[in-house]
Amino acid sequence: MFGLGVVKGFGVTLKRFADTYIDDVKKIPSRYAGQRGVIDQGPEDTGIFTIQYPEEKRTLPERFRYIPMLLRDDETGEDRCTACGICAKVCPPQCIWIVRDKDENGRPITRPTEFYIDASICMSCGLCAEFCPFDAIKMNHEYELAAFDRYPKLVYDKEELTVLVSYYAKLYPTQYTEEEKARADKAEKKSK
Amino acid sequence: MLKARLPAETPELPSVTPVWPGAELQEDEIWDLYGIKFDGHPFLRRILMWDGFNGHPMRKDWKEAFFEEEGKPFSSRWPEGHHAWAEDRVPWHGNVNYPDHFDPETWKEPVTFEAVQDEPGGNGNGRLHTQRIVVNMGPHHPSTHGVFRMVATLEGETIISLKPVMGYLHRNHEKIGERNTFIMNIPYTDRLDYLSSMSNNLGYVLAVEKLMGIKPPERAEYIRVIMAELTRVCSHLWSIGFLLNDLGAYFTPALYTIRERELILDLFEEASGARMLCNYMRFGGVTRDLPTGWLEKCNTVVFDRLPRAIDELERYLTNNEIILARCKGVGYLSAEDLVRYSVSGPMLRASGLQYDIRKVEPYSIYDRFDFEVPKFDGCDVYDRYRVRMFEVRQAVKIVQQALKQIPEGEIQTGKKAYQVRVPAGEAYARIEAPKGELGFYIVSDGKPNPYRYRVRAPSFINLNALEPMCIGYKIADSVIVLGAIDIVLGETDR
Amino acid sequence: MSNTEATITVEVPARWQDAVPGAVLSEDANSVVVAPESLVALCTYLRDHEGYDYLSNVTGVDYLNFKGRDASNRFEVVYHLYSTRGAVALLC
Ligand code: SF4
Ligand code: SF4
Repeated sequence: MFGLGVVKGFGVTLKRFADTYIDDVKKIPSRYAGQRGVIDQGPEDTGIFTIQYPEEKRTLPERFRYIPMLLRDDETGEDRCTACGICAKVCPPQCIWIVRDKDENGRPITRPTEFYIDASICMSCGLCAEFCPFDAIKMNHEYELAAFDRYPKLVYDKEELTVLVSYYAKLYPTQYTEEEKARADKAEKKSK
Repeated sequence: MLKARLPAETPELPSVTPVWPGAELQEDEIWDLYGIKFDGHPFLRRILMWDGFNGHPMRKDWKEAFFEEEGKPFSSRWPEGHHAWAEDRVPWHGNVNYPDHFDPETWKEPVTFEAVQDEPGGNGNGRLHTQRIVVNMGPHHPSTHGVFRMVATLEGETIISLKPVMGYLHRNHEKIGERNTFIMNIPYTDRLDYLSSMSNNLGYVLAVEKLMGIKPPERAEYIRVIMAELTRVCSHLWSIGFLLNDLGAYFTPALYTIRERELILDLFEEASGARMLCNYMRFGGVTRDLPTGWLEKCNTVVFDRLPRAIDELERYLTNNEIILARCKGVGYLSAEDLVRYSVSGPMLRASGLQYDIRKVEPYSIYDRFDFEVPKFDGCDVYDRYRVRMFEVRQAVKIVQQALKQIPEGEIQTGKKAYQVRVPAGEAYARIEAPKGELGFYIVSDGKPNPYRYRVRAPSFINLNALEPMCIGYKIADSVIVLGAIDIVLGETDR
Repeated sequence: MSNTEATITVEVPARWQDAVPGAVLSEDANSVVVAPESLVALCTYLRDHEGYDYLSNVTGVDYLNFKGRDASNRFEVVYHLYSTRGAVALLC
C-alpha cells in the first residue's frame, strides 16, 4: 500500500517518544527534574541517548584518556619521574619537553626541573603513559580545559601537570592495584 | 607489484589511465606530491595542494616547516635547554614562496570553467535553446560530509560533467608518517577515516607485522576481529544515516541509526580509552587486555541490542517509498566499470561482484568465521544501501562467533617496546575496511622510521567513479550518489 | 594460494616477455621492474590476458640517497595489481 513505509517510519518515532518516558519512570531520581547530574547509560537502557551537557555528564571509564599528568608521591613529596625522556621520544606530535636537573657539579641527575606538555598539540594518544617505565606519567580525566588563549594557558608546566598518587589511585582503581601488586612482586624478587 | 624507475631530472611516465581509468586521481596525487609527470593523463592537476604551492612535498628533499632537520625535531624545539615556540622558529611568511611563473593575481583554477556557456548545436536542432551552467557545490555544503567540492556542469538540471575538488583537509599524512617512528604512526592512522579507527589500526599493524614477520597471539587476533567488525557496524550505520540526511530527512533517522553506535563507542572507550581515536592495536598484539565485564557488556550489545536495532531500521527504511523513489536506479555503474575505476568495498558488492578481501585473501583469522558476502546487482544507490545493511548483519554475526570462541591468554607477542626493529624491505597489506579496500604500502630501510609510508585510501580512490556515476542524473541525485560512496574527508585528503 | 604465487614468480615473466618484448627489465621475489615506454602495453596485456583487472594502488617513492640508487633511478612508481576473479596478488 502506498504510504505504508511512511506510516511505519512515524510508528518508530512514536515508539521512541514513548520510550523516553518509560525510561524516565523506571529511573530514580528523575532526569527531567534535573536531579541526575551524571548519566550512566548501559546497554539495557532505551529512551533518549543524548545528554544535556554541561548540566549532565557521562561517567567516564577508567581508561579514559585526555591530557597526561605527572605523579607525585603523597608521603615523600617526590616526583616519580626520572627525566629518562622516553615519553618525549615516543610522543607522536612531539609535545613534551623535559629539562633534566643537574647537581652542583653540573652532572645530570634523575629528576626533571622543567617539564612541559603543550596541550594544544597533544593528541591524547596515551603513548607516553603506556611506555613510561616508572609509572610516572598517566592520563588525566580532566577534560574541561578550554582557555581563551593558547599561549601560555595551554602549555602546562610541571606544577600544573603534577598530581598526587592518591588522586591517580582514585581515578584508576583497578590499574593502580595492578601496578602496586607488580611493584610489590618485583621488590620481593629483588630482596630474595 | 610493477615498478617503473625514473631519473631524477624530468621524471615522466606514460599514464595508465587508458587501461585503468581508476588511476586518474592517484596519478594526480603522484604528480602533486612527487612531481612525476604522466603523459596522456586526461586532466593532470595538483589535487591536494594548490597551484601556488612551491615544491612537491613528498620528495625527500622537501622539508616540513616545523621539522627542517633530518629525523627527530628535538633540537629545533628545545634550543639551549629551554622551551621555545615552534612558531618563533618558523617565520610563516618565509613559507609562502610561489613556484616560478606563478602569479597569485592572475592565477586561475585548473578546474576552469565559464560559468555560463551556450550549448554547442543547442539551437536549431529542434530542441530548446539551453545554456550550460556551472554549479559549485561546496567546499562547505552541509550534505557533502565535510569540506569537499563538486564542480558540476549542468544542462537544465542534468549533470553533464562533474569534477571533484579536494585537499582542503590535507595534512600530508604520509610525510608525517615518514618522519614518525613506526609506533607513532598508529595514533595517526586513527585520524584517517576517523569513523573507523580500529580498522585503520588493523591495516597498519598488519602491514608492519608482515615486514617484521610476527603474528599476534590468539586472544589478540580475536580482539582485533571483534573491534574491526564493531567498527564496520558503526561506520555502515553512520553511512546509512547520512544517506537519509542527504535525502533530506534531516537527522532524525541519522540519530536513530547511531544510537546503537553509541553503545559500541562506549565499549571502545572502556577497552582503549577513547571513543573514536582508539589507538588500540600494537605490533604483535593490542595495547591492553579487555577490562573485566567488557565481554558481558559486549554480549548484551551484540546478541540483543544490535539485531533488534537492525530489524527496526530495516522495517522502516528498506521499503520506504521515499527511499525507493529517490534511490532506485540512481547512480548506475556496471561491475566492469567499477572495477576499471578501481572502486572497492560495498559499492563493488552492490554490482553483483562478490569481492570481499576477507573472503578472497583472508587476513588475520577471518577464515575461521562463517559469514556471507552480499550479492545485490542493482548497481544503484538503493542496492548500496542494502549491501551495507546486509554487511552490518554479517558483521554482527562474526562478532557473535568471535565472542563465543575467544580464548584466554596473552595479548602481546614478545615484549612491548617503544621502538620496534623493522627489517629492511617492503610490504603491502590490504584489508576490507568499512569504506573499501584499505591498503598500507611500507618501505623500510631498517631505520626506526619508515622510508615510505603510503595509505591506499578507499574514500579517495572510490571518488574516481563519482563523475561517471553522476552523469545523466539530476543535480539533486549527485548528493546521494556521493552519500552512497561514503567518503570521509580525513581519509580522502589525508 | 602459495602454489599459484610460486608459479607466477618463476614462469610468468617469460610469457610476458614474449607478449610485450623488452618490457620486463628485472624481477625479484615480489616485484617486476618495467621499462617506462612499454608500461601501457604490458598493463593492457596483463589486464586482458592474465586476468589482472584491478589496479589497487599506484604510488610514487623517492629514493633520494638510498643505498644502491642514484640520480638515474631516483623515482619509482609502484603499481599493485589484483584480480577480481581469482584474487592473485601480482607477485606479492
Ligand atoms: S614521565 Fe616517565 S618516561 Fe617521561 S621522562 Fe619521566 S620517567 Fe621518563
Ligand atoms: S598523550 Fe600522546 S601526544 Fe599527548 S603527551 Fe602523551 S604521547 Fe604526547
